[in-house]
Amino acid sequence: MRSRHEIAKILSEKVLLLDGAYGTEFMKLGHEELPEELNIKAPEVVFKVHKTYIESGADIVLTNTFGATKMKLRKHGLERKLDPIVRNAVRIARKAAGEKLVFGDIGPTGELPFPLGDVLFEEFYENFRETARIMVEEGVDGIILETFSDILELKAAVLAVRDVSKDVFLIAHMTFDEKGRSLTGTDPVNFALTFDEMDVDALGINCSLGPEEILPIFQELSHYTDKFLVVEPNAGKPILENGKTVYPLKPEDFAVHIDSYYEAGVNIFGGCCGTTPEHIKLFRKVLGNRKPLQRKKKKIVAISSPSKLVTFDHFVVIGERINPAGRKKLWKQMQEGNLNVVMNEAKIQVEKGAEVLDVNFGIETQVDPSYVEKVVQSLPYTASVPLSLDVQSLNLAERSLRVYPGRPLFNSSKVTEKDLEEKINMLKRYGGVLIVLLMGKDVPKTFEERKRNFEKALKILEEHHFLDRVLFDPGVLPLGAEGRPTEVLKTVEYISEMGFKTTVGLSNLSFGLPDRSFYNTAFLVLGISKGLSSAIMNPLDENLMKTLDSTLVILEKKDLPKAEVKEEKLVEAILSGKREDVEKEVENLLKEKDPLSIIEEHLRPAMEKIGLLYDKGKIFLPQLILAAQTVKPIFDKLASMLSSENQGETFIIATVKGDVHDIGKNIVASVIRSSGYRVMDLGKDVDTERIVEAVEKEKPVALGLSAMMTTTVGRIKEVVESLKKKGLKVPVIVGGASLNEKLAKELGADYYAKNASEAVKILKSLGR
Amino acid sequence: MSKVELDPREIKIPDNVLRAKLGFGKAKKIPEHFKEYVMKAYEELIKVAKPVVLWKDFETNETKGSLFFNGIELRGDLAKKHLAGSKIITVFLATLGKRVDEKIEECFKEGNDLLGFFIDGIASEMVEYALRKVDSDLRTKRPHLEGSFRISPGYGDLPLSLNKEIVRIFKDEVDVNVIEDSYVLVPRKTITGLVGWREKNEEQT
Repeated sequence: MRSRHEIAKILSEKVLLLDGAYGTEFMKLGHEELPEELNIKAPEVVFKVHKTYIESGADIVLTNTFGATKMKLRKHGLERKLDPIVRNAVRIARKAAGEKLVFGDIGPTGELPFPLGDVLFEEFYENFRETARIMVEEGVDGIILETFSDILELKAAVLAVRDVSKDVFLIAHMTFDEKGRSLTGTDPVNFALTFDEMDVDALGINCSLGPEEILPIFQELSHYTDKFLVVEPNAGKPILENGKTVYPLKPEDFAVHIDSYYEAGVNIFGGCCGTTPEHIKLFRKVLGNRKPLQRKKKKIVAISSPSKLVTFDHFVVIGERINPAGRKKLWKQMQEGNLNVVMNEAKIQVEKGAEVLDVNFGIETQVDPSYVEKVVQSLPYTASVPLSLDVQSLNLAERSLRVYPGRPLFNSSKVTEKDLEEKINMLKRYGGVLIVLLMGKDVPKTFEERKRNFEKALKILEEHHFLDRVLFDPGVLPLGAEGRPTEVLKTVEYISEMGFKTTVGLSNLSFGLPDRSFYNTAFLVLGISKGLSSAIMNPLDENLMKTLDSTLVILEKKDLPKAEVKEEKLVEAILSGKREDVEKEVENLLKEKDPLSIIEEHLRPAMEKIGLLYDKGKIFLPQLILAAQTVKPIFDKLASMLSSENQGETFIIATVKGDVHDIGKNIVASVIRSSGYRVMDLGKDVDTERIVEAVEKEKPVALGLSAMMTTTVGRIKEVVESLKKKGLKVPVIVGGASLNEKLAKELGADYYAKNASEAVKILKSLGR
Repeated sequence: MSKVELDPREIKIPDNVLRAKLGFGKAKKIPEHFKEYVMKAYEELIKVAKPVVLWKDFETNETKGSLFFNGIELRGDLAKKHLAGSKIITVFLATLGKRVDEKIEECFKEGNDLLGFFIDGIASEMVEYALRKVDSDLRTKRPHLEGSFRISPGYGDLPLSLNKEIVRIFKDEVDVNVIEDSYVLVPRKTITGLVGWREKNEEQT
């Protein structure tokens, strides 16, 4: 077994070559059973494939143990064979590799972590620890964790391997889709930041995509880590041919990408699914004996959940409400182990603008630690945002950091050597960014005291190479307890000018005071003007959040909101033309309201709003038409549920005799219908007599007449006079290309509408 | 009389014209969300449109300040301005056929208002394009003559009633009608036009 330092030395001198795929090679040799089983049933077959890869020029072979974890073998009834399967695998590989390197291969379990699946962190951890232990006992030179698609499962594997051996070379890989996301949403930057600070030697990407598709993802990864880089693309994107999966890239098509990977800083290059000894042979030739290129890591202060990375390059709202202080009901539910209550608190805060959630469990001795673990593991998946772990006891803090999926914020450490070192060591093991509270043994009151603590903290952080992973909290004390906020502001300004990020626990300021929101808001505005980069605060405080937004705009830290069309959900759904979404929304409303109320209180106001947007030129005519078309069948459905007297007022519309241009009339009819009226469309080229008869019979709220041609507008006069003769008093609204307000009046019409939206407005003024 | 049948697939309407015609006004481009509707409208229109352009030359004569062709008097200032002094007048009729009207109606009946609206808009431009193309081909073929602006009944003071006379000229060749009194053409996507021809270099009076 080579030590990790020996391997690191080799890698600093030469780019190494891994082997290729195994499953497909076994199949070529006539073995279609579970690959890992071959280690005990047909070791000569495994040996042969390893040997072929070594002969093709690979520097490293991976043991045939990708699926050799208890959880995975259990699915094949082989969990009791774990030990011989793994032990034999290492021995076979070692025998075939000779002086070349042997890396133990560990793949994911195929299970998802809670709450996406059932598995808790410790189950993953135990599973990987067992496989890694056997590998290390058998003397592998390194361990590669391959094809992981979830950040927490990979974290469990990394910690497990490292607990088995501090000296084994360890590679952590993730698998991404074409959009650069893992199955549970992690992107390469998040992957890099989370594992770069953990005790692994190399990071990389394998499987799922071909070399061309992986390259940009790999390049992004390479910018955010100092670790060695590994890549194993597939031989192209798999395609299905005659029911069989085929990998299309020939060795020469694959090898053309090697130079690009080299330029991106690759240290170990290999092939995943579909690659063969022929591929490896050509890779060897192309790769030759290249020295690796140097890279420079981009530095950012950021934290993450599995699917979201939050950087502190803008002001970050850290929601404070998952905290039972002063909230008896929440406290009781936390003690009872109620997960939903925390999830709901999280959801509301995120909706209101929190990008990070602070989680505090109150009197920690009274809360079940397994509940804390469940919250910390599951909340980043369900709420999507990263957490700030406000956990006091060292034991619970470590348990929380351990099961956290991603890179958390840890809140906090005082500036005493002991406290700071304990927290730094924990975060070095588990990952995360630390809030350093500028408080020593005593509570500081002045800027000078805080500055002294800051300088002391800097010295300790520098010694531990931890300066890039901190936010400083000057410590806000209640105004009622001589808090002296001006001293805090001075500290914020000083630290910000030094180029560090800051945060405060905002609500402490107003503790015990009336009108807390105003004090908090005022302080936040002043803090931001001094460079404050985040605050643990209440995102449900509308005054606070709105002032925050406007402050950021004034200070040019945020763009002025664009005058965009941002309407309520129903309006958006109608405008997007997604009938199913509107139907769903209406179905939900039907659970609480009757059809008439839905028409009157929701659909009609939504259409009015859309009409207004059209009038203001914020949407175009096709959008208005699509909206009307989308909502019409829903109106029809709701109307069919109503009694006849509730079905809305009748509106009659027709294109006059001699005119066949009825598109405009059709659109007007549709928009009016979608505004809740019962529209009787008599069609085009309609006789005056027929129009008059319909008015007499239906007694509409109004009559709409369309005439487009100069030769047909005269018919309007004819209709109006006929109505008068019959003594029918009905408002007549007219429209059409040849008409205008003046002409409409001359023809005897009551109203002229230049478009559908105006026609609706006129109708509204008449009847409702 | 000449007759030209065009392939609707070859008629590509410029984007800016399409944007305006389809109601997107000042938008810089058709919003992404609507592109598929526009494509669909194009496809549906191509299936039903049969663009046909008919044209015929008539000698003109001017008596007591009035312009005549085929026994028809061209009244109004517009005709005088553009056609006076012409030796020949070419009368055009272009139509997409009745299936287009039917298709648009079908769309509205089925609740596909937007599709109907888009087909209508594109069809209006398609029939214009068809006539424009034949008109321009004719000008190329008559280099010795100078063609006037093309004017149509309904423009300015050129009476719509002229449609009735024009349809009569082409009646045997195409299924187009004029509605009594209003002189509206049916099918709706039908247009007519007149171009006057003079010898080149002759001053227009």
